[in-house]
Amino acid sequence: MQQLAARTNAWACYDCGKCTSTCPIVRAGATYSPRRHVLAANLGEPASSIVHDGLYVCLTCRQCDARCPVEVDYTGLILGLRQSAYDETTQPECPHGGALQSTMRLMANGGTQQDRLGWLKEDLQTDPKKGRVFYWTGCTMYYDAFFTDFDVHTLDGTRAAIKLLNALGETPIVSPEERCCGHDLLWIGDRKGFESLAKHNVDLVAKSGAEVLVTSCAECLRTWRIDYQPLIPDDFPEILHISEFLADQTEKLDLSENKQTRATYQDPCRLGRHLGVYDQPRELLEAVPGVELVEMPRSGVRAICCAGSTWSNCDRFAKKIQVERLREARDTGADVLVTACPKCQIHLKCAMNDPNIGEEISIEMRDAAELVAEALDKRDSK
Amino acid sequence: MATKDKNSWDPEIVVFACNWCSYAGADTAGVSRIQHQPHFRMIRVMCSGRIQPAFVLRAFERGADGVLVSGCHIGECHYIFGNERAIEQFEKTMSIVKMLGIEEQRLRLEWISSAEGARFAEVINEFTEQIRELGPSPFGRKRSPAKAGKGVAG
Amino acid sequence: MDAGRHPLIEVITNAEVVDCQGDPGNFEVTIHKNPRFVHEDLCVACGQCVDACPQVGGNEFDMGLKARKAIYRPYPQSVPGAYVVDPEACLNFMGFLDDKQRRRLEMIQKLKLKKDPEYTPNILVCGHCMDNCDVDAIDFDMKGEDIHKDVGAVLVAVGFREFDARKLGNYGYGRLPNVVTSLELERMLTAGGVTNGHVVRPSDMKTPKSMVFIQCVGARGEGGRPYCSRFCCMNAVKDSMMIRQHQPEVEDITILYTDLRAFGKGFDDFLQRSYDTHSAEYVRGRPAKVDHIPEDDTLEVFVEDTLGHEQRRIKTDLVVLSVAAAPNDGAIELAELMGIETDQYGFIAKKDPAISAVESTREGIYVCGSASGPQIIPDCVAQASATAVRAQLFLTGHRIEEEEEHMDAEPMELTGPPRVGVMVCHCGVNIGGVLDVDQLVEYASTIPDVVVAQPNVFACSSAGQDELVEMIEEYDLNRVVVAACTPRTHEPVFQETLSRIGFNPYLLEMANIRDQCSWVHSDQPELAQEKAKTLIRMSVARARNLQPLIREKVPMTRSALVIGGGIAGIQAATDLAVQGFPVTLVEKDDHLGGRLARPNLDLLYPNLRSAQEVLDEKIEILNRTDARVLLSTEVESMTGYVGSFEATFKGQANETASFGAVIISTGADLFEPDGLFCYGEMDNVITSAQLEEMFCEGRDLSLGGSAPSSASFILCVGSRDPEGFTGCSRYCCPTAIKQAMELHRKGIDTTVFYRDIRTVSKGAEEMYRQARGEGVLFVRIPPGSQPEVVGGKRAEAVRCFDDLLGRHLEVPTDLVVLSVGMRPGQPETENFQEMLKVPVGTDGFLMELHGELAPVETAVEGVMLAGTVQGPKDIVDTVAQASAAAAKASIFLAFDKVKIDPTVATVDENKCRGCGKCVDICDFHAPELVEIAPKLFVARINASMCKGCGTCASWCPTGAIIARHFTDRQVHAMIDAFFG
Repeated sequence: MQQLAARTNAWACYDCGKCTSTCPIVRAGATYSPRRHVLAANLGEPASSIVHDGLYVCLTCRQCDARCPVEVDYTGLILGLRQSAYDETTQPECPHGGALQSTMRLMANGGTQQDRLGWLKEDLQTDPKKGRVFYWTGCTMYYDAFFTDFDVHTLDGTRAAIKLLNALGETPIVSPEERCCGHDLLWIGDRKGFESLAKHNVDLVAKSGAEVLVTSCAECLRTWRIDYQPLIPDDFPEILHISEFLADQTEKLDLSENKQTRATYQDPCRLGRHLGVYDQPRELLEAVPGVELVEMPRSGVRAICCAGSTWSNCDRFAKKIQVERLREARDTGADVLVTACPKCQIHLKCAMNDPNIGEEISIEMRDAAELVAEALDKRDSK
Repeated sequence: MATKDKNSWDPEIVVFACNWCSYAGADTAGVSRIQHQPHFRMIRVMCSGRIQPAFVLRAFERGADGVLVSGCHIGECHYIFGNERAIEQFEKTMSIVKMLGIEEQRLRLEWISSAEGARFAEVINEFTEQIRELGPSPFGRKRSPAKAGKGVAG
Repeated sequence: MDAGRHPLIEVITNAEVVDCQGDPGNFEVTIHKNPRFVHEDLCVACGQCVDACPQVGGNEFDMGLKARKAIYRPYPQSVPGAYVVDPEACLNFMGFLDDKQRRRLEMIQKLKLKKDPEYTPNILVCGHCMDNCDVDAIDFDMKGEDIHKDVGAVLVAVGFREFDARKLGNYGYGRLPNVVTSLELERMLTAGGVTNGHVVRPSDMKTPKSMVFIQCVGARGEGGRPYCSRFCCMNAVKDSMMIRQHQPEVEDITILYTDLRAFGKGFDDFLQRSYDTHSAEYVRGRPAKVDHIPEDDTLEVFVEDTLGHEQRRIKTDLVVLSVAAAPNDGAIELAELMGIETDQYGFIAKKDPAISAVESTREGIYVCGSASGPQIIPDCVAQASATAVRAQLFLTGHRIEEEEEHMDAEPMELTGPPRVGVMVCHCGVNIGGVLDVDQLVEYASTIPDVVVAQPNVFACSSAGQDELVEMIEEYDLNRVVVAACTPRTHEPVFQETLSRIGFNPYLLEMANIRDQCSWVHSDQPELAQEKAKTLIRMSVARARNLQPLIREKVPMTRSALVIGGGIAGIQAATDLAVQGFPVTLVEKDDHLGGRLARPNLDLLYPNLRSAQEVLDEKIEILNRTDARVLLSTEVESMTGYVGSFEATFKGQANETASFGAVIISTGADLFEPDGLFCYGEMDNVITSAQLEEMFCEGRDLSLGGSAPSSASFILCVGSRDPEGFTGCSRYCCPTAIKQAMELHRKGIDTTVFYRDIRTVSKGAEEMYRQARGEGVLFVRIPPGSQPEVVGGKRAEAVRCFDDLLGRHLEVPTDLVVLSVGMRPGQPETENFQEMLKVPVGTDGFLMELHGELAPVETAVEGVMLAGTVQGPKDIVDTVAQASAAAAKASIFLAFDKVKIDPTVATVDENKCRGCGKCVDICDFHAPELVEIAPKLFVARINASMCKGCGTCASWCPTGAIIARHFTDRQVHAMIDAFFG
């Protein structure tokens, strides 16, 4: 516990409460205080003692970290606390009865041949083993199969990304051996499940001989770049988000105007505050002829998160954050809300699925890659 | 897939059962002393509509070789349409199970009424046999004792 | 089962009434109870006696298709569960002994003497059953006894027996083994039955390739019985569908019928499914005989296909005789000693066949079900409830005003970490004979959080219960696991014991190691032992996560609202008011009576009593009660739930009042045949309702022309219509026949165009026969076609293809009467669906909770249906249903509180996203979204409306909904413990 406090700079905390007043969950009305957890950690209390004080409530969106005057890594502290609480055999009661976590653990266990590539269409060129680019799909096929009761199409973003890679002459590796990156297990503290996934995945990519690893998922990216680091060997492929990969190659894509679209961009917390990637998705969108990018009042480092990244908690307050975010998006006058993380799409679309206020907050949602890929289509048909 | 003789191991099967029909059907099999395979354990809920993907996936995660979801015949639900909701949940679960590479024969949905003791026994025998044919689940405890799941939560 | 457990119901089986003296309210009944030779209170239904019994007897329940022992349980779910000795089969009653048997007998007697020095030896040949009974329940000294009971009212529900098909020798029953009755087939089709649900030919036990059903065996003129048996048509249709589904090897099923009487709610749709799936070939015709072809051991049925105009010899493997219901044995003798009358067939007679739902000819004695004539199940259930409410009249002072509050002890403090106690029951040798109980106890004590584990011989015995209590107190337990039998029967027993000492009953968990383990895996005891261990481990895991729950009570407003003052509403309001419950009856018209009131209805079939006279009688009885009648008043809005419905009236009365229970009896609409059969275009085309009105008012029938000399009825107008209401309106056939006879008797030549004549109500078939006999002409409309009204300004003839004759008929007619069917009453049906959330069925009528077993209750607790608002029916059935609704309402009104089962779903409002998924999927409308702050919605679940299925919890994305007693955590703990 002391190590953790030191590592996350918790001891520097001077009790100012800025974190609490910044916290979106608190702003949405929850009784919750990041500062209290910092204090508990500094006092060396066991993590299990704060299980019932909202250990799994934190969105890990890093809003507080970004504002903290003394640079406490509260998000890192929470991650550490959850891991240590998990070791004490406490598990959170996850949304959907923990079905998603079970799915991840089944993947972590391995031993089966997943049937995860049923969505690949013939017009997409991929290779299961060899290629310069390893395209990391993430779990969008699972999400689309699980969230059947509202309009979730995260695979569209996955397909669009592959289409763009094809347009650049790449035939990426899309591997049936890919497993969940383990992000969500890590963030509920299940280190064991996470590590077995990490080992498998790092091994898979390392052996592929690819030069670059590209993913469309902000969480996968964070996991690869930060959490897998200790496992990653030398001469490992470069790890890029699809927007980073594409941003400086847009000219090669020969994009043409599809239609006039006003788009606003939702910074995923993992991509933005966790990894500092703010500009590339915007550059990518601006490179699409006919797309006008408008910003929400809170964007970039100030962007509000989708309120569900770690899949450890979901509640009325998360909903309120989402509703506010969607109202902001609607107020920009945008036709489409663009994200660069499938989770943002799932959680914000879930919020729109509301019998009372759904109409007021609904807005079309796409992955950034989808907008770009559409600009390819237009050229083909001309 | 099963390399070993199918009778050299005993499968572990979770049966989720509705209180009003299939659980009662198992009791009826008991009253009539209809012998059947003993490798399953029942978990009783009030309605098959309660049986959500998380239950089934958790059972596989912990090591079940097969999972049977059972409810009242369509049109006979104690709660009007609970079993129709169960179908929706089951289909969603099945799509995830298949994607995970678990043989779809390891997961089954059956309607068994409270009077159908003989049918309950028949379903159990038949399902047990089917699981034997498939061999141990890749996630099952019989595959490798070292990989057994961790203890009870909470 | 429920009746067997009910504290106020004493079940005396194996008994018959031998005398009935006294008056209504004060009957003195003598019941002769035959000895069962097994003490019901001692027998634990373990079945060891059966295994020991050497003697085989015939099995009545399985129609002689399977043998049973001389000591037996009639069928697995029988109540009481105790076994019974059949003196006809038992060796002890056979009066002879060989040496071995005698030695055995002496040994038993010595044993008996040792136990009881007072024992007087009996001549016992065999004692295997006694030797094997661990609880000494078997007693061959048991004598028959007479029991005297003072009762207020008597309900006769002696049912029917099947017609003895031997009487129709040509069908070969009793002579040809492969001719079976429908009841025998039913026993075969029952999953737990003699052949485990498979149809076989009794001669060789092989699956038949083809089957023929012969309908109306012993009914509609066969075997001297003119009445229709009501249930046989649908039964044959159902059997054909079941067989084709389960045994595709049965390739051909042919049903030989006269009319297909699919008259009940949803029956026509069911029949249509049979047509669509080709489950059977339907041939209209009655066969003359069934022959056996010895060469290939098949049967041949001779029949005329009256629609295809050919003689057919149908070769088949198995013939099923759909046998009619006949009066039960002894019904006439019973009627005689009860002082009630029987009808000409020997069924118990009703006071007035036109209106009496359950009244026998003697006050205070009521009849329900098939004792008074063949019935379908929903009607039996409704009548049963109706008899109960009638009987209530004579039980004043006996009504249970307040539930016996057993003085529950102060709730025990059960907080802190789980301290689990496990009791493992031997259940005699039922568990102990297969499983090693001591080892289970030893194992259980090693499970985390288990502080004590103990064995018990019979945990459910009073000694066992005492030991459970001692264990709790001694070890300061806060969770209890009883590893014994099934919670479905015994959880209430243990829960009651726990409640008595203030131990929250929801902290009990049962591991079913008998019914689902020792009984079914006794052939593999080692694996059974392993299974029992796991079951106990899983139960402990669940127990650790159990939460105490409190049975809350919500207040019950002890008054009822009856909406709609037709015959159903009048009956329901009367039945409640005479019991002393405050009742408000709301009627939108300025008079009571609905369709029975003048000038809607003239005479009632079958005995042609004046409808108005009957109605006046009913209204007079109502007026003698304290029921409050609000005329010219409608229900404007209604909210609430059982115990406290709030209704706002408008019209003559403008007020808001609250009610504990609601009965909806707003009736149905009649179909408006605008544009059909030239109705509205030709003056002499009228509806059956208009004709009735003309009868009522004594108007002449000329309708602007000359007096008619001929008339035609067209049936099923607006019923059995694939485009509209697909069901049968039930009342039209007998009404049309009644009206046709009335016209015919006026000298008007009358023809009835029909699809199937469905005269199923009491006396209706006889009336149909009489009409034909008097010369009313009947022409069958072929399926899928319509008759045509021919004429210019006025109808001159009805043209129809007659498939019996095989050509078109043109019947001259001066008057066309369209027998219009029923339609859901609007806007009432929609209003109640909207206001009270009563579900509407696919037919558009308000839907009952269960088609067969709960015909008057709805998915909304406290809301009952009476009469045609639930679906078309005739007056007698309406009255029965109205009384049944009153009976159900009085169950609520009898108490000043409604107990709410705590095992319902609840919402953690902080976790709720207000997505409304729970609202969408709940068929009981228990959850609703509430705006707790502007634009902030959360779900709340009304515990009074929640049935506890837990489906919403599995659909809730966040886990905000908790299915109490079956929480995610509890289920997960069990899964984990299986593999833990």
